[in-house]
Amino acid sequence: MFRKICARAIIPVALAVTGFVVLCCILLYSLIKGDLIDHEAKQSAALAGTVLKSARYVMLRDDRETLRNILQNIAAQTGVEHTRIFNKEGRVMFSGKPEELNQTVDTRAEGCSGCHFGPEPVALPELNRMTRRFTNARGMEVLAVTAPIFNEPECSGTACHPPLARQKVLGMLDIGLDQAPLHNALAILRLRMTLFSLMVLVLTVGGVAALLNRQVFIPIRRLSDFTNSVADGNLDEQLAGGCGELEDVAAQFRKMATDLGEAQRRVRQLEAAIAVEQTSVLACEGVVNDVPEPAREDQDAGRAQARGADPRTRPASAGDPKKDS
Amino acid sequence: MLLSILAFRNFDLLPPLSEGVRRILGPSPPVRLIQVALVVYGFSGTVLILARMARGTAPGNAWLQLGYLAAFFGFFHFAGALGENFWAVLTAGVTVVGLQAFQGWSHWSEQAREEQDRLARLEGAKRPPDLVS
Repeated sequence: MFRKICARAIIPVALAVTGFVVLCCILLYSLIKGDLIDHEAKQSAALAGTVLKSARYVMLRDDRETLRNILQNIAAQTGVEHTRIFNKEGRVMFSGKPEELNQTVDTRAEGCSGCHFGPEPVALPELNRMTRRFTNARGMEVLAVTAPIFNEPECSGTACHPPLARQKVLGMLDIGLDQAPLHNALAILRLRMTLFSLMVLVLTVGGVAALLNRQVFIPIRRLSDFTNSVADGNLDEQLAGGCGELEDVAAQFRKMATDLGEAQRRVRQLEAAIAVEQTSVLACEGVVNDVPEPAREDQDAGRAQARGADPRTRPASAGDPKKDS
Repeated sequence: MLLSILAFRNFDLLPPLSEGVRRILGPSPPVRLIQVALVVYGFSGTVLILARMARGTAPGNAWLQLGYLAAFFGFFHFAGALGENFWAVLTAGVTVVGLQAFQGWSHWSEQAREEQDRLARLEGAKRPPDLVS
């Protein structure tokens, strides 16, 4: 199969195009996935900031019931896995799920250790330290964002919180977002990219193969059949036209085959003429041998006269029928 | 194949790099930069091999391609992103090495056929004239 010109021309093109398109698709998918995950993290951080700003007035008024209600409403939203506020010691003070209240989170756990890795926690964490991904007990992948609630003069002015100099961070707001929509979007993206790659491959490889087949391989196959037929001695075979240079090759070959056929026909005619001549010469020899000597001389004289020459001036070989022929 | 299996297992059969070696090597390049380099490698490698095929010149060194692949696996492993980019490196490697293997097979089989033709002509020339006719 690999010896054929068709395979030799199409396999490298197919391999190169397929490999490069698949490589680009994998890397493109990886880039888009990374961008989407980064975008999701930024969005969740923005959401946490919005919640904090919305609840600021309620917290200043120490309206705990309204704050609890706000968190429960947010937690009831589709795609929100959990919403809670815990204090500096890690105890859950408010939560969208009442069963989480008064539980203590481990500062060494994933997501907390990003800021709690030293003796003092990081007061202003970067975005990648604020977000974490984990699989919860129900097997759902969750993107959680943790935003610090900073102490302010208004907070420490009342009896609720210590002064700003003693405590910079009052607690943390923790919001968990379900990652299933992101995974669904990525699955759809994968499917579309696979379909797109397949279409590009079919069009490229199929198009190249079809054009090569039509313009090159079929004329070459016809040329090959034609030369095989000529090689078998069938000179009457006609060659269908090709294209471009192949058409020129076909025309030259057709002319060569026609010339060869014509030459062979003339050779056959000459051979037939020689055979007839030889037969007549042999017949003449037979007649001559039966004729007496004087009569033969008369015959020779008669022939020479018919040719317009004097038999006595003819060369010595003139009477030899083999030399005449 | 062995290299790909090792990379697929995240080089867990090899001892991990010590902190001292990591400190000497310094920080890994950004993952996106390695990805761009991989695309450039795949594209230029494919174009070079196709150009060699078109010119009919001898194939390049296959060990060099394996070296490039090992380097890409190593860089991604060092950057901690081998899991996400394993299939990309494998695809680039299969494409370039496969093309090079096909070019090698095609080139050397053509050379062998030309040698056989040359030998046949030489043997024909050595024969006595009566046998030739």
